[in-house]
Amino acid sequence: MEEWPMPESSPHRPGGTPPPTPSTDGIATPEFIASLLADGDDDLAAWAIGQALEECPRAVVFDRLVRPAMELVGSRWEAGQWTISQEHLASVALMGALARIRPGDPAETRIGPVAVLVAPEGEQHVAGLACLAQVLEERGWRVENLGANVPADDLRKFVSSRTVDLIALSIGTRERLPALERAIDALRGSEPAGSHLPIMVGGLGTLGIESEIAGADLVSSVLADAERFVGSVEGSLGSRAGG
Amino acid sequence: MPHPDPAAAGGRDGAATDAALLARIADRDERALEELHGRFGGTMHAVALRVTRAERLAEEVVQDALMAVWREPGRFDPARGSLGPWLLTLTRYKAIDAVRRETVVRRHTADVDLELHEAPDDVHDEAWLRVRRQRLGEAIARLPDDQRRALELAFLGGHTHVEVAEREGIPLGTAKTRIRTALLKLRHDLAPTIGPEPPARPIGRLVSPPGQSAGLA
Repeated sequence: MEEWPMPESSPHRPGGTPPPTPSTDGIATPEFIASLLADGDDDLAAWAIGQALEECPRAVVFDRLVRPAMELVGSRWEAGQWTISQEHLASVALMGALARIRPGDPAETRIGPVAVLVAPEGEQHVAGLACLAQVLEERGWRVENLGANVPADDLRKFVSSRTVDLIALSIGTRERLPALERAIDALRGSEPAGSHLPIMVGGLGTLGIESEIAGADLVSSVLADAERFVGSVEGSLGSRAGG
Repeated sequence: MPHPDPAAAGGRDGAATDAALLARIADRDERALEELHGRFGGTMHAVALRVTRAERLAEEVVQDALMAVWREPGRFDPARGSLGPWLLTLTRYKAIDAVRRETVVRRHTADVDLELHEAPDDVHDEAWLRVRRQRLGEAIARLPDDQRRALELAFLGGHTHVEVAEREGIPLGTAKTRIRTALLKLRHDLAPTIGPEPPARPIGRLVSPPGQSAGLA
């Protein structure tokens, strides 16, 4: 069974060099992005995120700007400052903003390695997967994003029916941990002998319980970590193709 | 890349600086307002330009937002966030308001333009149109000189609001106000006689009732 290296600079494995931070001159700040999203202004939010993308890698921008913005939306909703409607509007606006800043040439990604992104059964939070999809696409991957609420057995059948180079699963809340584990078990249980499908897991639901999640090669909610892991998968694919 | 100005980053030091700056503005320290403009004017302008898509309008929006802070610095609550994002949010709202006002002015413009260029269908309509043009000319003549000039430059001369401002040597906002006020006066003055449809007895309706002046209110 092939081993996949863990990232060096995961928050759970300190020691790596911290990546640059998006400029915080007011435009590229979680507060402003959160305000725009809660107002449904996906155009201006995309522009503001785009300003940060001119300075920093996509994964870093998502980690340090977009995710904190959405966390701010959530915390203001929890504090009663914003309504549930604003929170939902922010989620929809984020997807709109992400669509506006989608990278790369789709023609090139059609021939890249294939990543399947999925939220397990019952999970509705998919913004993290949408961000990961862009990080992968920027690296030339073909992304098959199955989105929310995919039952484990259905996922197993889907993956078994095609060539897949990477699986990414995400849960937004800890309540979805059993569904996540069922999905991982189903995938591992259907692997042909001698093969190993790289599986990475993330999402806010995994925070603090990384060590409890078995069967995954990477458990991290940090997209920069995910990107490093993807890099190692790419290296393996390249060596296999060359060898 | 970290921002070179930690105050703008909204950290702990930045929050203290923000609070001090706003306190000075509350004390009517004009240099504090200049500092505010120096620190955030560039990003405010970028947001305003993105929303309005018009350079002069964006400049006006930034000035408007800064003046709002000058008038009511207490509107910023440091407990709810940092100054930079709050200013940008304020700028965005001001910019949306500005675009909305522009749209209203354009709508008025289109209405009056339609009135002026409506093609007559028959003799009755042609006579009615001639009368309306005469009334419109009279009403324009009654406008204050500055408003009349601005209106004529915009509608007869075909100049943009920016060009009207430049030709008159006045701020853009003033030019817009003059044009809009003139349009509203015309609309008010002509409403009884210029409607979408000609009246059944147009000539009789053109005579003002006794005691009712056709002049401006």
